Amino acid sequence: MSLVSRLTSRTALLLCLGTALSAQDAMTFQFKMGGGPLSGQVRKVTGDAGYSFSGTFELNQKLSSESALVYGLGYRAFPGDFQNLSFIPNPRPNQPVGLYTYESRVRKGEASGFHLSAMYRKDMFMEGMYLQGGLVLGFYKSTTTDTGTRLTVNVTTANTSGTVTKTETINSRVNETATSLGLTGGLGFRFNDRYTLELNLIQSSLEGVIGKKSGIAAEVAFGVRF
Amino acid sequence: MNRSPIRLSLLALALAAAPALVAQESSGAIVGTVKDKSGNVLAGAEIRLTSPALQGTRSLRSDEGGGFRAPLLPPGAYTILVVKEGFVAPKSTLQVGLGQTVRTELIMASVKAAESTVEVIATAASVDKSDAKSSTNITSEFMDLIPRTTRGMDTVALLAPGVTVNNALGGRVQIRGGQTTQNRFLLNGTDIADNVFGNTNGRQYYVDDSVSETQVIQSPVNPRYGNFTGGIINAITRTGSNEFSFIFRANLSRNAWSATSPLGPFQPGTGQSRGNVGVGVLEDGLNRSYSLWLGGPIVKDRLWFALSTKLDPSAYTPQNFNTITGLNTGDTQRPANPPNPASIPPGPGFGTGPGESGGPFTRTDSPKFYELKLTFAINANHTLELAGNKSELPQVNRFYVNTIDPNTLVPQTNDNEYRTLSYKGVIGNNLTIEARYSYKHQLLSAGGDPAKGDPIRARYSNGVYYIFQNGIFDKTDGGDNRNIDTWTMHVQWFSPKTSWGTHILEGGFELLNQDRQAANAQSPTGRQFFVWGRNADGTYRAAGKAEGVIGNFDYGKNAFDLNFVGLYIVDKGTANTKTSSYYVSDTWSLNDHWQLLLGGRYDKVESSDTLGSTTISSNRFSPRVQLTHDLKGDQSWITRLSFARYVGKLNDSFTNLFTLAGNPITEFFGWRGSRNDSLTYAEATNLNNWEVSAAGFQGQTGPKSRTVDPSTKAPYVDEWSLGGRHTWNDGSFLAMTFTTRKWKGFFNDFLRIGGEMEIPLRYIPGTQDVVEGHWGTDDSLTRDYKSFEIEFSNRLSSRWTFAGNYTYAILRGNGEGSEGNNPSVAGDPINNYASVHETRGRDLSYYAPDGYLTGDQRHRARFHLDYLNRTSAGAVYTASVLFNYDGGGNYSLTRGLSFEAPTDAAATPGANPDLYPSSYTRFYGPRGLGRFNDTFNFDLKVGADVPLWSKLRFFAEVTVFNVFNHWQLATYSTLNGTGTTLLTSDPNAGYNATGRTSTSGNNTGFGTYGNGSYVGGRSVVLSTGFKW
Repeated sequence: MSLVSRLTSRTALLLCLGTALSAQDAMTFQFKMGGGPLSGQVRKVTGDAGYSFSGTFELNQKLSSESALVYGLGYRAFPGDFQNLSFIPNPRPNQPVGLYTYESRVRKGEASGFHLSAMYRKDMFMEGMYLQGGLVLGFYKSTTTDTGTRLTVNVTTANTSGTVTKTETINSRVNETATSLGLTGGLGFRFNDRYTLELNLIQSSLEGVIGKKSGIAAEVAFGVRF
Repeated sequence: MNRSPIRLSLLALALAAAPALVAQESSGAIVGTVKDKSGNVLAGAEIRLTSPALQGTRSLRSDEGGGFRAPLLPPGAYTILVVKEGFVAPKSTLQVGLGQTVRTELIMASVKAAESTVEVIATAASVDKSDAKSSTNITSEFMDLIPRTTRGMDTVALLAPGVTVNNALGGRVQIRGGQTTQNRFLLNGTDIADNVFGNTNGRQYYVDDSVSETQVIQSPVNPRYGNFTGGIINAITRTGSNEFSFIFRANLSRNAWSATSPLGPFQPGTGQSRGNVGVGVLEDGLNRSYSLWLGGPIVKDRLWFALSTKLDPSAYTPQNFNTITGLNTGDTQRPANPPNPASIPPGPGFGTGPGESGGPFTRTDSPKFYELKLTFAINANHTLELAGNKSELPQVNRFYVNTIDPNTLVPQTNDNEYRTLSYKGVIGNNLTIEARYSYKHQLLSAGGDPAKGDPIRARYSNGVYYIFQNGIFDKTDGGDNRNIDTWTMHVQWFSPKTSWGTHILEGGFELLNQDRQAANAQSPTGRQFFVWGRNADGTYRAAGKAEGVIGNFDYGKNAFDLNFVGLYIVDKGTANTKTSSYYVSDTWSLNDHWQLLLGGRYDKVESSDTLGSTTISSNRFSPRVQLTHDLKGDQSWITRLSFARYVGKLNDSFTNLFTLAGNPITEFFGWRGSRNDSLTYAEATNLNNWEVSAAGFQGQTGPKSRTVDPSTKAPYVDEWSLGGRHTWNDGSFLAMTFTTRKWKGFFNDFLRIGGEMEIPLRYIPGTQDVVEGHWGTDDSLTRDYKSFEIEFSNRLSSRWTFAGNYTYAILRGNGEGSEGNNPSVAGDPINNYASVHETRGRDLSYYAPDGYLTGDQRHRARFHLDYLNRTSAGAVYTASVLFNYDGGGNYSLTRGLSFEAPTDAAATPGANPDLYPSSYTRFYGPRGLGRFNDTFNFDLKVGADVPLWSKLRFFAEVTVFNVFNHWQLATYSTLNGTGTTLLTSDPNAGYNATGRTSTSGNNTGFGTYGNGSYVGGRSVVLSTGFKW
């Protein structure tokens, strides 16, 4: 099932669910959009692009007048930036006799996937303001694409530039999926019954060709309650 | 308690996407119910509608169920007054958008109750669920607010979800994955798309301030819409009103207000370019454009006018003749063999003055523009509208082909105009009729003056021909005329409400007639002379038959073949593509919760020319189905599922391939005499000196070399869409839509060879005439699109709104399609000479793989936070921050390799190997393997609109694009080779590179970048003027 199909089926399900639940006072339904910077080693997976954005459906189960449990299902994208990993020098350095390989390699790592979250939310400090914290389970698929050119050079006379005997095209695409459980929490402000603004921190992990890396995704999120 | 009726802000409805009712191209509608406070329906109430956009007052009565319907209303702000004896109600106001049906509930209080407490509540209006399309409406008020300075159809459309460009850094508009040539651009109901390219930005036909509203229709399920496989951009211009008004606007900017691109961190050894200097450092002229729109009554409530004009000053653009480089003989004497540059001094024409290599000249553009709209009301129910424009852009000193001779610069004119006459009538309570005739005319005329003599093109030793004496084309040949006539009629019938619900029956036709008349003469005298060289004294050189192979710049040729005369056989016939479409639909509202639309459309396309040939005759039927569920019966929760087939149009770029009209045949003949090193112009252009006979025949080009399968049909796309939408009482909404589209039946050219040939290659001895392409429908070409769109508008307070959209999309396929994103028709390699590949072990993944198409853009978002403050003194202050997020485009790793087709053709009896392609494109990995960076930035606009005196107002808007000057690396070089000599076409041999040394250069350039690879520089535009 493609990503879009999965997105759609979940959206439809949540819309229906939200419709039904929105009629109940104890349960409210919210859609939240957000984005912000990444910190930590997780940035390396996406070439230090350093940000993510997300859309999340949240179900808010009221525990008391000031507290609630919040369950979320969302999609988060970690766009990647171009990395020029290597280049072929011009002119090539002189070398002892032997075979040498030179590469001009560009890497692009990006990731996206779904997350589930459960948080406890508590109103505090001032009217409309709340704190929240809990767990987030992320299922993120990263794709690392390398493109470029590789030359094989045969140096038969020391300190000459030698002869190119082979060129190859670098065209690899590697997919890795990481499942991780992390902490999430943040501060929110409820403008009115419908709109909220939150500042959240989400512990996130991505698996790239450089291994599994973790970090914190910070995000400012705007929420609309149905 | 006295509560005012809830008013929807202009902004909220401006952004009201999707669910609106019957597809109207130039009007909207109001439907609703009149009730008392207890919820009982009130029959027989009189509803009076007035609006600055409506001539007179539209009156109607509520039916037995309290319902009423006011169709065919000009878009605008409406005031509704309900009158019924014994009841009172305040006036309520709502906004009707283009193509929208707005639903409202009018609550009346009994007079008795009103005497004790005036409590009259009107519910908010919402877009009615009976609309069967997914669309976004963008009003002029919205464009005043957000950070955009022009209102081209493309600029406006790109603010809507599902709309991208076919190239991440710019390009043509693509709607829900459709090819950019397959959108419709309608202005006041007139199809203004270019006949050939299938697109336009529209600003040749209107003044920015003239546009009242633009509707971007991503999925018009209603069968009224057809002839596209992308989407529709539908704009209407302002009408006059009972009050005089005008808008004078000046847009001003300076290059110095734009930031200069950074180079970014330099990477030694990468070959990183420093060539692009960005903007703002060379010239700092004031860029100006002015416009005036004015409107008012000629006869109050009867006849209104709207006039507009552009007051742009003439533009003087510095240009340069070609800089001639790479000469290895100096071209002052006959080329030596081998050449000896040291012995050849430079000749005239190689300096820097006017008329010399790289010398300057100035191009002058003097635009003129006028626009008129007249609106005549026979009465409030019957309206006639006449609209049109005239736009001329004469240019002096157009530079077309390589030259250093001022005599070859030609004049050019670009004319764009349209006319439309329409009728809208409301007949009784249940019937409406709309009829329209419209005409669009484009003219591009350019060329040399026949009185100046024959153009002569002299070949220099760098392998380039430079033209002398006269320009190409013929300014007297009537130019390239691209016209579209459209006749449409649309009838709607609204059934009475029964226990089985209500029906809206619609039917009509659309007759499109695309004409293209273009003699396309290639020379002002009907001939061009190509000679071997030009001497310092202005004489020319011709090579004789005895001349052998010369320098390596003449690879595979000899000197004699490179001097010839081209004679043009021009036909001024007209190529015609006629589309006849008929449609019918029923929108069945079973109850307040369920609605079903069933419809169908029949499109017949015939392509022919005035020379008597019919090239294509195609017909297709397209079903349209939509099921709508209204959870609460009040439009607040709407869910939609639809299936629609859209049949594409046939652009002239395709149909004109097969006609002589506009496609001159060129015949080439060789030089008659022997070598001559000092021909005067008269001698070189004397036809008696050329062998115009079968003996001297060198070949010909033209439409004779293309054929088309007469059963070819227009491509189509099947679309499934599922969407949900929640609308709040204040007009805020959140909508989500999933769409999948699959295209079928693309055009393609079938080029085959040997045993797989479908048609014989027509080799005519002595003429080199061959069938170059046989076109038809090719189902093996794929194009699939999936998207998930979110669109929202949130009224945070009376002054603040947060709105926008996000689109996640995937566009895949194995070819761009024959009318791909490039306007020129080019067949895809699938099915071309497949046997040549197959016999060498290559499959489609090698030369035409599946993958992401060039228009694929994964993420795209436009979010804006808007502030609008109307003070009690009448001033309006606005501010808007627009966040733009654009996913990076993709690239493929490809390389041109030598092709064995000519070799195979040589072994095929009757085939001419020279006419087969000698190279093909090889893919390394899937199509669209790599992806450039995503980019984002913020634009800001602040505006003030203040009253000065009486109704005179002053306004000023400052727009800052990329306000944070956030430069981002968007692209980089994808050159992936060290030279074609490294390669062989053997799929299994790798890339043997024997004999390649470092002195040949081994820097691939892949991944390098320069200033031009960055986006995000700040720039500023000031827009100011007066309004009345």
